[in-house]
Amino acid sequence: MNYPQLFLTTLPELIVVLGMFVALGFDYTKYKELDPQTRSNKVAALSTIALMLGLAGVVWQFLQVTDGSKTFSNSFNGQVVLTPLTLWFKGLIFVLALFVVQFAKTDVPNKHVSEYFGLILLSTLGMGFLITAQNLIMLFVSIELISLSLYGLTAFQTDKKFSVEAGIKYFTIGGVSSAFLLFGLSYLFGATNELSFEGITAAITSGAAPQNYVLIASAFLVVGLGFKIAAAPFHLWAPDTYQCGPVPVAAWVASGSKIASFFLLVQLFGPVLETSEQKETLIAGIVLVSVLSMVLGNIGALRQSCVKRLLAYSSIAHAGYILIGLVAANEDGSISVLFYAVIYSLATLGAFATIGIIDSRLGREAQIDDFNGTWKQNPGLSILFMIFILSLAGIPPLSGFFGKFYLFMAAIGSQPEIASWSEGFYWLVAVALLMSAVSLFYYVKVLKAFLVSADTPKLPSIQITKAEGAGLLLLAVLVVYLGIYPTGLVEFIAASLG
Amino acid sequence: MVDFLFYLFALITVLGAGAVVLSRNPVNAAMLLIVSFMGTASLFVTLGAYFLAAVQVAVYAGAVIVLFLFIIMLLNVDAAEQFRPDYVTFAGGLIAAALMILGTLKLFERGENFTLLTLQELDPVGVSTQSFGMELFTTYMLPFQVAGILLLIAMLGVVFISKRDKETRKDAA
Amino acid sequence: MNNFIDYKLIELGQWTVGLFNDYPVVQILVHLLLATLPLTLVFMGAFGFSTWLERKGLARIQNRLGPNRVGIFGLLQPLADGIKMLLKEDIVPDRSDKLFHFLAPVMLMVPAFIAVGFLPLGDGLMALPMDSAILFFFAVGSLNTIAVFMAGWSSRNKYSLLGGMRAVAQMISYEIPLVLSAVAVIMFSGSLNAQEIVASQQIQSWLASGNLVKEFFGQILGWHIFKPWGFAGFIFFFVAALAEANRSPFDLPEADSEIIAGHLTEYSGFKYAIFFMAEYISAFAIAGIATTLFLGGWSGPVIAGLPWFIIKMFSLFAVMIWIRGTLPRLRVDQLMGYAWKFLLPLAILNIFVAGFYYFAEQQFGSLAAFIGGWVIGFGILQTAAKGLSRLNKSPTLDGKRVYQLVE
Repeated sequence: MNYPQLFLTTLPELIVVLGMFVALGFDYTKYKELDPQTRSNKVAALSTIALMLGLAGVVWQFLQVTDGSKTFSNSFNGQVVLTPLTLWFKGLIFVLALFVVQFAKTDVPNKHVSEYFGLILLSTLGMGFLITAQNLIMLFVSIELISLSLYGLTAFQTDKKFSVEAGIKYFTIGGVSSAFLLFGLSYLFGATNELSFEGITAAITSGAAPQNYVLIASAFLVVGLGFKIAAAPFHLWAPDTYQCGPVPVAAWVASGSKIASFFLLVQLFGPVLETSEQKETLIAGIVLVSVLSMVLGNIGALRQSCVKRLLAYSSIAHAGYILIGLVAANEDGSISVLFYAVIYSLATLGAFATIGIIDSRLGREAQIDDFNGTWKQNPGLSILFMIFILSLAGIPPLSGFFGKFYLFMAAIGSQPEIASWSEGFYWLVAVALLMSAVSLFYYVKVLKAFLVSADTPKLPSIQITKAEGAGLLLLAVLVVYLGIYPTGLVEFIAASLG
Repeated sequence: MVDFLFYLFALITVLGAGAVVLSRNPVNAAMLLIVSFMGTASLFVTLGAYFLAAVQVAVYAGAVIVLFLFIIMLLNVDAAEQFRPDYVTFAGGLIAAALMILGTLKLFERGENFTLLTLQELDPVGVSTQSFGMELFTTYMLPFQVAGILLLIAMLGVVFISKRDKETRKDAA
Repeated sequence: MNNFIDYKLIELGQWTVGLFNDYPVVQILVHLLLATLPLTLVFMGAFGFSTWLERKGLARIQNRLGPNRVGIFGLLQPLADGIKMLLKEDIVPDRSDKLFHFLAPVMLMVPAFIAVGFLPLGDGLMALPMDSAILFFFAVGSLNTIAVFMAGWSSRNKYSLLGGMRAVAQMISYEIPLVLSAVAVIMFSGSLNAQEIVASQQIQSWLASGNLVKEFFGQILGWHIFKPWGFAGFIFFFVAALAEANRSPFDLPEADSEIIAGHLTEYSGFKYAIFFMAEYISAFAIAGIATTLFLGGWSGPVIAGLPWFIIKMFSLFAVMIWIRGTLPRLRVDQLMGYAWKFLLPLAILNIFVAGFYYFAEQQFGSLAAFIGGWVIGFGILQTAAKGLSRLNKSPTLDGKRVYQLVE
């Protein structure tokens, strides 16, 4: 065991944990007497510093790895695999966490400030570990790290009944899904006698692993991970969690944990789907999940008046779209899944952050009606929100459009020999397009309230803090930039995957 | 002999687990869960994993279930006893279980079986408690430490869930 | 070597098993019986004796005579009590959960006897010779809690329920310092095997030297209790063991003056007797494991083996009786605070001290480590204990006490 190597490999995580302990320590001793808002600012500053230093560590690792030096060649049997791709995504997670901390600090639900930020930092850690994990044990441990901290965060408003209820729902369903996942993982281990993804893929490709068991394992894994990405019919926790938990937490559940889970899906299922003899059955299952998610998500969203709940259903629908890329079962599919996961998280984080700002000024959950005429009082905020929502809807100049475009192209291109529209995945893409059209209805309903509604504005003019403003602006710029120039990221992902 | 023991303990485990789900009284359910855990522990013993067996008994039967019981005692047990699933729920559960069993059977019958190996056969050296510990602190150092962080999360959760501020208590009263 | 009693017993056992060489199935049964039956009988006898010892001892402490009518010195009193218990009516409350009410004493007795099986009574004298015996001992010991809970819950009596809740809280809390203080020993010996832990407490080079004086002291001086962390660990272990066995001053679950014997309230007749027996046997078992871990197990000069083990175990039991006659019962909050805020941190610190002691012994030799350990290691532990007790001091005790009902 090479402990110095392990130390360097997990340096960013160690920094973040250390930062969390510093924040906790200061909060419990020195800041004890201050009022919650001041404490929240100070603890958020400490957390930001920790995340920045962690990000610096990730960047350093990234540079080392891209230089081709052998510093991180040891992956400890796949427990921490540092490649340009994983490090890029880990860096992205850290950046998103930085945004979340900025959005979270203005409105901490109660007095337990340092626990709040501590849990955010620890879930960041879990997402980072999940992205670099290519080992079943590390995979499960990091998924639990994410899930447990998110359960806690969802139930954080202990004085509000709905927050606790959402937390309990999330916890119960999440616990069941973890059981499914663990069952699948143990089948996978039993079938292949390997813990690292590399070994598992090799065992499946060579035919050493009994195919039946691989199929059972994959079925359980689809169920378990389906819960984590909120795909129907495993989506029941999502609406309540997004609506009733603290808004920054909902944003974090929708963005960070989604990226990490989809990354895992690609890492784990990519090879299995490409090589397994049971490919057909598995793909049929995933297609079913995908179609159900798109239909249930979009139709469920139509009826919602609460904006957060609407976004929750839209996230279920998006999970359906992303699974189309997985169904393609080739490299294009993997690239499009990862690309879409990135842009979806950026847009949804921005949308949730905007709603969070409005919620906290309003003092209650924002309904769609509450946005009537916001444009007149808060033009800047309205434009930013419009960008996020239009990207989610997939309107051309924005990145959401290209994300969907790549996904659908991958699905169609996966079976080039098929010419007739009734075969292959044409029908799946057709369903997806139809559902995208449906989704336009509710996205535009929100935008209409924002922009063209003639009512007198319900919202006063909103003062947003510098950190919030900078964060939102940066997110919006990223969303637009990736829409205008998507090839950079796509080519990077393609090069790193290949 | 080993085969017979395996089926015996597997039966105890499965029946215990089934009875947990079916029993209406939460205390009975928790007790039956102990039976199920004991079956699992016995399975570990037949596989030669004594350490896991002892840990299973000490952690699950000795601590986790006792905490369950503690919670059940603190809650009003009679209120929980009233729960009766309606027919729709029951039918849905039945269908799901039947599908699951049928699917699994289908999968098993479709291809080759593979034999069960005991731990000694899999890894002749690595079954003692000592080697278990060595593995945990060398090969699986990172997951082990991350599991420690998991416990930290649980502690943080306990702090904000159970610690009531004086003001909130006033509101509640 | 001088543990000839153990060898004779083992020889006797092997001879008996050898009688059935032609009948393999019978042989297995005989083997099993030989491992369990003597143990059961001996410990049941010891239970009878110890009830007499306890009553007599408590009586002397309280300036009374104690039982003195049945037999010489009242020695046959346990027998008379047993007959009385057997003949008494077995009352089961009407609204109780009959099954659990019946199962509770059984659930308490079975783990108690299994736990005894993990004790290394002598060289090679172990009913269940397993590699991780210590671990199994604690695993089985943790099942006691469930039995006590069953008794308390099934009786449908508020005092029983209170007693059950107290027992569950107490046993879970004290199990942690109990196991953690044992961890120091396990770490030092590098084994979970009870026999190897005993062997680690003998100075093997002295035993093999052939020098009578060295052999004599080699059986004693290696005991872990003479090392600083062992001494501290023994104290933590013994305190936690008292709580685990529901012995005074931690007998809150069955505090007769507060909750009329807690979970035992609704038990009578033979079931009550079984409860009683199981608790005594658990107490023996935990005294036995303390002997194994800290007091050198069966090792001792001249008559090493079974005799020494029994002497040590009964001495520890006598200390328990002594404590029962001396100390008043704790309050519930004091009890929990003591486990979590005092014993637990110190037990964790003790593990570190033991670790450093281990490396110091390898680096600087036994004698230097011994002296340094007592000066530095024990100093650290003592300072920590003082600091903790100051931190934990309850603020109300400093000021003038206010009696609400009086004023």
